[in-house]
Amino acid sequence: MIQLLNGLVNGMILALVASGLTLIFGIMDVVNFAHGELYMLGAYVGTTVLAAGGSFWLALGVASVTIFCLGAAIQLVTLRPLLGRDPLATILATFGLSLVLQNYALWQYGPVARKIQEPFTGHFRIFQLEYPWYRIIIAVLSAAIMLALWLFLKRATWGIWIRATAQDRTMAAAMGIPVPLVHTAVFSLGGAMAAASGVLYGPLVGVDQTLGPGSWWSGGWATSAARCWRPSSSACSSRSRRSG
Amino acid sequence: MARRSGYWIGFFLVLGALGAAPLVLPEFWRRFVTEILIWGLLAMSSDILIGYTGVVSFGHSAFFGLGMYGAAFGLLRFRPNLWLALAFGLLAAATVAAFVAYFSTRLRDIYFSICTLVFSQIFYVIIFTWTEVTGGENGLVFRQPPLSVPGWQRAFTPATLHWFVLSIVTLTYLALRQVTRSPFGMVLQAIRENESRTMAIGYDVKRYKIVAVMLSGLCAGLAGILYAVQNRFVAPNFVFFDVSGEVVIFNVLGGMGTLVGPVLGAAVFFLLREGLSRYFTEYYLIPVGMIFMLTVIFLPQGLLGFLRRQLNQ
Repeated sequence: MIQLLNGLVNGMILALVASGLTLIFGIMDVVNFAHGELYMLGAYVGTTVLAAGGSFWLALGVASVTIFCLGAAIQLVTLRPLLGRDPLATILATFGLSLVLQNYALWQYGPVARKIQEPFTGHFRIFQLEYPWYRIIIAVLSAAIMLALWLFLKRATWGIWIRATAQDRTMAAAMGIPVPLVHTAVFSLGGAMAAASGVLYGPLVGVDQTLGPGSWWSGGWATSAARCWRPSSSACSSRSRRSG
Repeated sequence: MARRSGYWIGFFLVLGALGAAPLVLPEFWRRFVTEILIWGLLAMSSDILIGYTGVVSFGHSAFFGLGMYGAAFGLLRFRPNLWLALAFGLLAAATVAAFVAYFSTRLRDIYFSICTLVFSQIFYVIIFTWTEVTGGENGLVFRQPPLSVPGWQRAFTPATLHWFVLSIVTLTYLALRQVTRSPFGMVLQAIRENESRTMAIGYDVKRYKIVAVMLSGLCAGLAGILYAVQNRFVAPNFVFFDVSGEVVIFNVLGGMGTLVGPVLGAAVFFLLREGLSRYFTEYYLIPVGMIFMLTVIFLPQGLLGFLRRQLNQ
């Protein structure tokens, strides 16, 4: 039973990272090999804030905002010039990016794993076992973030723009939607979600530079998660691309 | 006609330079050149998939590693014979390649890449954990087999090893060049340009891709055997994802779809690593990754394609 509960909690975290990844993949057709690195850097930013005396929630916020900005910068510098090129080019570019980020983390933070102190240390009894509250809370938080994302995509103007871009890039541009800006925003948003999950998951596993060996995490999730997103959103876009 | 003779002149010039390398270079650089040739062969094998068939394999370390372990197995369990090592290594690589090819060629684009990546990691874990046979984390150490032909046998010196590697790499290159120009190679390039259309014309695309993956895996296995023979040890690190990643870097740096380009890419990568690790120590991958991204953005044809275009102008 405890396994079931653990599986549920871990699953929520993975779903949070994967939703950022699929957001990027579904809308930009970019397989982000550096997603795991954004996740890891998010966790590191969290440790830095905590070391400076900030609270856990401050760390969560700062990490998300920092990686949001970093994501925007990365997208502007590396991915925007590749818009309209072979998807292979973006795979390779993000792979190069993952090398840079991973080694940057190694250089900056060293090879020793760091720990994020959990904000709640309470336990409760379930099935004759002590189970930490913190795990329950991160599961709920992940679900809340994903729900917020869903609402955002469904209701907000930006969300509608994002969905429009996913469906048909050209048509969206013709309707006056700032498509390049949408791409930047999506990449940053995906990065921020990865960072948030990095901080949330930090207390359960240590934080070190191999936390997100890019390919690994992002790769595995891309296959499983991307399939869920694609049928709805990009059936049209892939059809139009093929005929074009 | 002038172009073709120009090609052969260039070919023999490079071959001559590489052949003369062990006679003039100091020990460190001699070893360096031999190593580049081996990695170049691995990169060349992956070029069949990336450059000609248009699918990126992120799992070449599996073929490379199985070639290594196959060779080591033959040398340790049977006789320390070079040709036996070759046979065992190729057999191991071919088996794995057939297995991976069967499953991965059902998929396209990124799914193919991820499938190869996942398979290579599976083999990594198997090799890492199956300690009785593979030596686990420590790998295997063995003695270098002598260079032997029936009736004649001599231990390898650095120079003869270099020539042996050079001749195998050259032969493989010529064979692969022939393959890519054959009707089979043309179909592979048609798949790269437009898979659906190739299928519509009536080619059994999946079968062509299976053969391409197997051919590529076989050559990668060959590179693994050479590496094992050169270094006299095998380790699970060579089956890890890093190696596959580096192979992709070689291809992109040098130029995909040229066969020679990846070898050039390997040379550039190792020179960069030597040069940069003086300043960046073990973080040399930061500048290398940046150079890699710049290449992807500004030189999509790689160094060789860039040079070619400059020469043609």
